Amino acid sequence: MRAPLSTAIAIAAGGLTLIGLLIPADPLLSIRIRLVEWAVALAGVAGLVAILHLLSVHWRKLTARRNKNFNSAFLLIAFIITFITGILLKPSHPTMQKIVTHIQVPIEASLMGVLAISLTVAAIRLFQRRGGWMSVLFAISALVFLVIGSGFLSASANIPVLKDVLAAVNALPIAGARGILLGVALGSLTTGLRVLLGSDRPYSG
Amino acid sequence: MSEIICPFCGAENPIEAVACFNCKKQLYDDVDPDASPPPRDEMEWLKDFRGFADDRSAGTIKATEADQSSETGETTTGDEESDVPEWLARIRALKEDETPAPAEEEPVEPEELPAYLGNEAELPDWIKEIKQGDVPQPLEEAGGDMPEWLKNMAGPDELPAAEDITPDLSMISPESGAEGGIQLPDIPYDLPGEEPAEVDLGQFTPLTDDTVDEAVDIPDDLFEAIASQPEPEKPPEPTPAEPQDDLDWLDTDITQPEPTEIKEEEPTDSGDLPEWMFEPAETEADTVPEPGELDFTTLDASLAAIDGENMPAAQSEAALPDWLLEDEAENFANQAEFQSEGAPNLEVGEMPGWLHAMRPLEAAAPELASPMDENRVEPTGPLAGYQGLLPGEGVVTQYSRPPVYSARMQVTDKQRIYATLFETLIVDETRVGAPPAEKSTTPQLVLRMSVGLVLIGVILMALIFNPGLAASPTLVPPESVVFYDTLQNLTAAATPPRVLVGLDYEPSLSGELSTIAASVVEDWMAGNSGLAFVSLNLSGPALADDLVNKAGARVPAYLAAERVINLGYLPGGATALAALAADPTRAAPASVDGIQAWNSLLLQGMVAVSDFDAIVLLTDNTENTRAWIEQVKPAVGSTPLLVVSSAQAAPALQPYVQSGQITGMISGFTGGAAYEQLTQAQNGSIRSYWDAYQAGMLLIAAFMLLGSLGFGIMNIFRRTKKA
Amino acid sequence: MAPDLLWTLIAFFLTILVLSYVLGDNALFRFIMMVFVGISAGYAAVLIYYQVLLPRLIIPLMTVPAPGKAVFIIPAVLGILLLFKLSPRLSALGNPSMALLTGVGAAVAVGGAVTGTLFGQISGAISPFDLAGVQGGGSWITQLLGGIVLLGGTVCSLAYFHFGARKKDDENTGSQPVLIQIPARIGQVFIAITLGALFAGVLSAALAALIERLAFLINVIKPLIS
Repeated sequence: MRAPLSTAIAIAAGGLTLIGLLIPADPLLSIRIRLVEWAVALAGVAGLVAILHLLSVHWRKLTARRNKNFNSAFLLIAFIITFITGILLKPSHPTMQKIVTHIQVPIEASLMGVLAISLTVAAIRLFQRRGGWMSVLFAISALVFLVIGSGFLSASANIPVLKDVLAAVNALPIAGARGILLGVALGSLTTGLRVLLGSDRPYSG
Repeated sequence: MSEIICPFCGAENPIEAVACFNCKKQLYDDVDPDASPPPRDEMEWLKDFRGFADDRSAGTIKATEADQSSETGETTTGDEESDVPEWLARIRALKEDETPAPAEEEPVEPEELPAYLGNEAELPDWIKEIKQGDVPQPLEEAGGDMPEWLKNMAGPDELPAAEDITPDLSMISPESGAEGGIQLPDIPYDLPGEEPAEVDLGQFTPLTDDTVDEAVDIPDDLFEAIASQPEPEKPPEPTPAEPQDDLDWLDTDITQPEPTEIKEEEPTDSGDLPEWMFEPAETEADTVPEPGELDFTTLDASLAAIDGENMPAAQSEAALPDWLLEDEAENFANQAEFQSEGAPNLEVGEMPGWLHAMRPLEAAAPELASPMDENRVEPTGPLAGYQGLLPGEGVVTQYSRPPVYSARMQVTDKQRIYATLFETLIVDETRVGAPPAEKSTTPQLVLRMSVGLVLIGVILMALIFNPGLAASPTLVPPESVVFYDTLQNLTAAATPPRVLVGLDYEPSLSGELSTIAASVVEDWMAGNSGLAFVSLNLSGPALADDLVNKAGARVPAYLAAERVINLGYLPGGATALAALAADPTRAAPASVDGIQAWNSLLLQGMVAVSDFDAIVLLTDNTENTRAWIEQVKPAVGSTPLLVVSSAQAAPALQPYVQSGQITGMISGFTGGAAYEQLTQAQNGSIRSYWDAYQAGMLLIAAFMLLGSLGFGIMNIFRRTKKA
Repeated sequence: MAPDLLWTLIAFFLTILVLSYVLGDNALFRFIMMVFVGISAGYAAVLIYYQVLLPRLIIPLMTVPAPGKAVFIIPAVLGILLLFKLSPRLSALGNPSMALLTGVGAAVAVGGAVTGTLFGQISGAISPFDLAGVQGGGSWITQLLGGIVLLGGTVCSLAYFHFGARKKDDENTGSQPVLIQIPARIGQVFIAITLGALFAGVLSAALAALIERLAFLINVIKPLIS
C-alpha cells in the first residue's frame, strides 16, 4: 500500500468526524470538533504554502538564465510592500482596507465589466461556430431570461396572466438545477466515501 | 499488306523498314549495330568444355562473309568477322568444307579451320555421317526450290542495305524471317547439341540499356492502338523445305526466312555421342562415365556457369525486356511441345513482322510463361531419349518475371468527376466537427471593440442623463417578498435581532452585491440589529467593513462600533463552516481587530449559530452557498436563512428556495430593485443604476438576437449551398 | 493631496487601464495584472498570519498551559510538515497533513451532501404533491402540475448524467439503455434551459459590475468638471 501512514490518518480522521456528525455526543462530538479545528488551521497553512509557492515560481522566472520575465519583479515588489505594510499595520487598518477597496475591487470589477463585453460578443457569435437544437434551446433560454432579468416585463403587472407565465418560466430552470445539484451531491458522496475507504488517496502525491 | 507498327510512336511502317520513319527509332530492339559480343575470355569455359582451349587460331573463319555472300553477295568488314565466335566459325568452316561453296564465295582458308576438322579420323561419327551425304542439299542448292514469295521477300532489292543493318549473324534468330531484321543470338549451340529448339535465343540477344529503357517505357495507349489495328493479312503459307542436315539450319535460318524443319532424331545411345562432349570430364576427373550413367556434373557445372555471372549472355539477359523474354519462351515451349508429340515434318511457324510488332501486347499478359513438363523426354542432342533431365535451358533461358500489376486506377472521366464530388462532400462533413481557425483576430477584435464601445456608450448615457425611462418592477418574486417579510418581522421585534452575516463574494462582484446588500444592511441597521460578519474569502473582512461603512453612512443613528463585529476570515470552506456550525466560539474566536468576539457585548452569551436570530448570506457563488446550506442550515434549525445573491448564482440556488432551505432571497439588480420597491426606498442605490441596467440588458439581448439570426441564417444558406 | 483623493485616483486609473483591454491587450494591462496579483497575495498572507496562524497555532502554544498544549502541538507540527510541500524532494513529509485535511473534508462533504442537499432536495421535489395546505380548486391543480413538471425534469436531468452503458453478451455496447435514453433526452432540454438561465445571470452580474465601475468613473469626473 502506498503511504500507509497518510492513509491511516485520512481514514481515521474522516471516520471519527463522520461518526461525530452522526452521533453528536461526547467524546465523539469533541473529537469531531477538534479534528475540524485542526483541519481549519491546516487549511490556513495550506493557503500560506500556496502563496509561498506562487512567490517561488515568480522568483524562478525572474532569476532564470533564459527568458527572464521582468513582470515577475513587479509582482514580488507589490507583494513585499503589501506584506510588510500589512504586518506593520494589521489587516484592520484603514490603509489595508483601502488596498482592497481601491486596488483589488477596481481591478476585479473592471475585469468583470470586460467580461460582460466578451460574453456579449460570444453570445453574438454563438451560431457562428455551433449549431444544433441544444444551441437553439440555449440561445432561446438565454434571451428569455435576459429579458426577464432586465425587469422590463416585471414593470407590466397589469398584463393578464403575465405573472403566471413569468412564474412558470422562472420555475423551469429549477428542475435542471435540481438535477445538477443532486448530481453534484451524489458525486461528493461517492468521492468522499472513496476517500474514507482508502480507495482514493489524493494526499499521497 | 503487312505493316510494322512502331512500338514507340504507333506509326505504320513498311514491312521492310528497320527504323520508324516517324520517330526514327529502331523498330526492333534486337537490331543493335553497336552490340558487341561477349568478351572472349568469358567464353573460355566453352573452349574448355570442348577441349579447344589451346587451339585459339582454329576458329577464325570468316563466317559472316560467307553468310552474307550467300544472300547478298556482299562481303562484310573485318570487324564483323571478329564478332563471330570462333566456335561458330569452326562449325561453319566444317560445314563449308563438306558443302560446295558457291562460286562467288571466298574459300575458307585452310589454316582457319579447326585442327580436328582437317583430320577426318578425329571427327565424330555423326559428323562423318553428315559428310557421307545423308544430309539435305545446302541452302544455296535448295535455293532453287524456294517459293516465289520467299525469293521476293529475301531478294536483295527489298532487304535493307548492309550499312543500315549490321548483319551480325550471331544475332539472327533461326525462326525469324529476314524481312523482320531479327538476328540470331549468340548461342552456344554445342551445349545441348544441334537442336535449336532447346536453346533460348532470347537470352543472347544483346540489348543496350537504351533499348531496354525504351522497351520498358512504352506507353500503355500504344498497346491499345496496336490492339485496335485490323488484323493483317496472313502471310502465304510457306512451302516445306527439304530436310536438312542438323547443322544446316544455321545457314538456312541465317539466309532464309523459310522456317527450318526440325528433324526428329531417334534416341541415341551414349556411344553415338561425340567423344568431345565428354572430354572435359575426362580431363578433370580422368574417369569416363559409364554410358548408362552419364555424369552430368560437368553439364550441371556448365549450367551453373551459364546461370551465374560467368556467362556473358546471362548478363545481357538482365537487360532484356520482359516481353521479349516471354515471347522467346513461348516460342521455345511451342517447339518443345511440337517435338514431344512426334510430328517431325511440321514446320516451325513463321513470325511475320506485324506479329512481332504486337509483342508488347503479349508482354502485358503474364500468363505467357511456358509451362515445363518435368517428365519430358529429351528429344534431341547428346542426351536425347533420357527422361527427367534437368531442363538446363529452361533454367537459363526461360525466365518469367512475376506479374507486375499497375498501381494506377483506371477510371473514366465520369467516375473521376463523381469521386471528386464525393471527396468534396466528405471534406465538408469532416470540417463540421472542427471549425476552421480564425484566419485573423482582426474581425473579432473589431467586433469586440464595436460591441464594447456601443455598450459602454449606452450605459454612460443612461448614467449621466438618468432619464428615468425604466419603470420599477411591480412584479416581485415571492422569495424577495419572504426576505422582506422576515427582515421586517425580526427588526420589528422588541429585542433587536442579532444576525450572522456571511459575506462570501469576491471583489469582482462587489459592485453588484454591495449595491444590493447596502439596502438590506441599512434595513437591518435601521432595526438596530447586531451584525456579526464572517467571511469565507480573503477579501471578505475588508469588504464587510466597506459595506458597513457605506450602509452606516446612510443610517447615522446606528452605532456600528457597538453593533457590528467582524469575525474575519474562515479558512477551509465547508470545513470551516462545519466548525462554525459546531461551535462558533472556537471556529471564530476573535475579531479582525484581535478582540475576543464572544466576550463582546454584542455576542455575549451566544454559544451556537442557532442563537442568532437570522443568518444572512451575501454570496456570488453556488458552491459556498451550498456549503452554508449543507453545514450551517441543519445546525440552526428554524433560524431563517436569508440570501442576497448575485444574478449569476440565482438560478442554481432556486431549488433551495423552492425546497424551503433558503427562507428568502434577493438576487441581482432585479431582485434588489424589487426589494427597494417593497421597502419604498426613496434613494435606493439600485434606482440610480436601473435605467443603465435595463438598457444594457436589452441591448445585450438585441445583440444576441441579431447575431443569432444573422449567423443562423448564414449557416442555413451555407448548408443549402453545400447540399 | 488628501489620502482619500489619492486612493480614488488610483482606483480611477486602475479602472481605466483595465477597461482599456476592450481596445486590445497592452503592456500596461499586463503590468497592472502583475501588481494586482502581488498585492492580493500580500494581503492574503497578512490575513492568514493574523487570522489563522496567530490565533490558532502560535498564541495557543505560547499561552495555553502544558496539559492542554499537546492539542495545539499536533496541528502546529502538521502545519510545519505541510510547509515541506514546497520542496519537491521533501513533499512526502507533508502527506500526513494533507491526509488529515482530505479525510476531514471528505467526512464533512459526505455528511453535508446527505443531510443538506440529498434529503433537502428530495423533500423539495415531492413537496408540491403535499396538497394539504392548498386552498382553492385551481391552485392545487397548478401546484400539482408544477410538481409533476419539476419532479419529471429533475429525474430526467439526473438521467442525463447517467453515463453507464448497456451490456450485451458481456460486451459493452457503448449505448445507454432505452429506459435511460428517453428521459436523458428530455433532461437535456431542462439542462439547456438551466444553462441558458445561468448564462443570462452571468451576463447580468457582469453588466452590473460594468455599470458600477462606469458610475464610479462618472462620480470621479463629475466634481472635476463642475
